[in-house]
Amino acid sequence: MNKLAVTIGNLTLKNPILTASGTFGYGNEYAPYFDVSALGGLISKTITLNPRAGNAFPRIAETPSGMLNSIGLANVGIDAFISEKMPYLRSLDTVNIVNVAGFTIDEYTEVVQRLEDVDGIDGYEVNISCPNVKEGGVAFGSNPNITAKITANLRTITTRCLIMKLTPNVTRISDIARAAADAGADSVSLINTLVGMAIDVRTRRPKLATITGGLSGPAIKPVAIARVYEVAQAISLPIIGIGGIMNADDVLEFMMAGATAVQVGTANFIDPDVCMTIINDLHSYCEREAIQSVGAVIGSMIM
Amino acid sequence: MKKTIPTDSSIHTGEVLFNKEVAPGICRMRIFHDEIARTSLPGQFINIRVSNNMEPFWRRPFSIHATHADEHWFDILYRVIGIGTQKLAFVKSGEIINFVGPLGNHFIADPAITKTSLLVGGGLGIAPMVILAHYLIQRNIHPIVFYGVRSQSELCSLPDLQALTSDIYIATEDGSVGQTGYITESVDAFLRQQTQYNELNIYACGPNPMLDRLGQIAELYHVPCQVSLETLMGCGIGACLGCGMKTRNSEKPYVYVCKEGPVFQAGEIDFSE
Repeated sequence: MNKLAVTIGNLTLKNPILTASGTFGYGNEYAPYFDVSALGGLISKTITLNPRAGNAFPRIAETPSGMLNSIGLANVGIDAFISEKMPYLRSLDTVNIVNVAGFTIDEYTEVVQRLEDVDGIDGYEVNISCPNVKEGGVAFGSNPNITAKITANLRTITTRCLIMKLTPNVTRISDIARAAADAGADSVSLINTLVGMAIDVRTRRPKLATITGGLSGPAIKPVAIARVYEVAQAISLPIIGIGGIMNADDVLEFMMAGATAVQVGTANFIDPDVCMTIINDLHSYCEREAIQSVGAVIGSMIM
Repeated sequence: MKKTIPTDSSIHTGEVLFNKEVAPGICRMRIFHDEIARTSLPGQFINIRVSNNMEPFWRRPFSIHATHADEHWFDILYRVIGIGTQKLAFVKSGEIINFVGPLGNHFIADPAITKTSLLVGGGLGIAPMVILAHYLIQRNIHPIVFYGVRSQSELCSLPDLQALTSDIYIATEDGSVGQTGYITESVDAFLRQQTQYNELNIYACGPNPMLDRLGQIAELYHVPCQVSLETLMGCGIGACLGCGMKTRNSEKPYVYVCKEGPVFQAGEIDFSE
C-alpha cells in the first residue's frame, strides 16, 4: 500500500503534494527538472474565458522570506488551454486539477461548463480569492453568500472534485469555508496570498505597478497554519493547506494543523525540483517514524 | 527569431575557481562545470542560489560571460549592487555554488548573411559579448566591439576582448578614455562611414535607453539588431510571469524575458516605459 496516498473528495492522490496555481505554469515549464508525474496532483495556472495579458510591470517584488506578486491572472484563455496545454497535462500520470476564475458569477459556470467536455481533468480549483484583479477575485471570496452561490452553481454542473480556494483577507475565513462546504464543495484550499505592499524608499515609488499585491512565501506560513487550523475546527471536509511550504517539515506542520494535502507554491521558483525533494523526504519520514499511512498525521497536533 | 531553448536546463552545482574584483565594485566569478562550459550559447544565463537561507529569497540571474570547454569552466561578471550580489561577492574559491541553467534563448548568428557584427556593450552589458565574440569567430564572422562605460575604471575583460578582435571602440561618459559620450554615438558614427550595410548586424546588451537608441540607429541603416534584456526575475524558468517587457505588438503586449528572451529583435520591444 502507498503510505503517502490521501483522499480529497472522489480523488486519490498518490501523495499529498500538489502545486499551487500560478507557480507551476501549465506543468511543462518544470519538466526539465523532475518527473512531474510524481506529484500528488498538478494545479495549473488560473484559466479564464478570455486570454489575459495580465497587469502592468513591475509585477513582482522580493520581500523578507517571500515575495509580492500582482500578475493579474495572465493566462492563455480557455480555448488555447484546451488545445495547447491540455495534451501535455493529459499525458501525465498524475491528478490534473484546473484552476478557474471568472469576472462574474456566471462566468465561473461558463468556464467549468467548457471544461466538462474535456478529457483528462480530474477536478477544479475555483479561484475566488485573487487579490490582483478589479472584478471578481477576492470580492467574491470574501462574501459567504457569493461563495455559496458560485459553489452551488458549479456543483449542479459537475461531479468532478470541486475545491474552493479561499482568501485570508477576510474577517473570519471559517465562515467562508462553511458556506462553501454547505453549498456542496468537496474541499477548500487555503490560503491564497495576503494583501501586501512595498515601497522603494530611494525612488518613493511602489515596488508593484498596481501598488498592492499578494504576499507569498515562508513569510506567510504561520498565518496559513493558523487559518488551516481554524477551518479544520469548523468543517469536516478535507482541507488543502497552502502558504510558504519549502520542505517536508512544513508539509507535516500543515497536516498536523488539519490539512489532508498541501500545495507547494513560491518554493518552485527557488528550487524547481523542490516538490520531488519533499515527496522523497515524506517517504523517508514515514519509514523513519514507522507510519503506515501519512493520513495518520492529519490533525495530529498534540494539545 | 528562434525561441526554442537549445539545451534543457537543469539544477547544477559547481565549484568556484575564483571570485575576484576586476574593477571597483565589479566581480568576475569562475565556476568549474563541464556541461555549461560545453553547451551554453551566447546570451544565455544561469540563475544562482546565492544563499541557503532566505536572504535573498530569489535566485539571481547572471549572463554567461565566457566559457572554456577544454578547461571545463565558465565565468560570470557582476556588479555588487544589492543584497544578492553582496553575498555573492563573499563566496570564496573552493566553495560550491548551486545554479539553474543554461537558461533562456541566445543570440543568433547566420554566417551566410552576416560577415561583420557590431557587439555593443554598455557597462555590465559587456558580459555576454566575450562568449559571443568567440562564437562569431568560430563561424567566420568578424566581431567589432563597441564598449561604453561611465569612466575608464569600469572597463572589464578588455584582455579577453583584445584576444578575440583588434577592432574595439571605447566610449566613456567622462572622457577618461576613448570617445567622450555614449557608445551609441560611436556606433552611429561607424555606420555613417560604411557604404555597404547588408552584411552587417548588431548585438547589444546594456541599459534600456541605450538599447532603445541603438534600435533607432539600426533601423535608420536597415541593419538587424538583437538586444539582450535585463529585468527583475522571480523564477528564471517561465513560471512566475514577473519578468515582462512591453512589446510593439498589440496582439502580444508583453514578452517574458527569462524564457522568450533574454534576446529579442530590437524592433519587437517598446522601450518607452
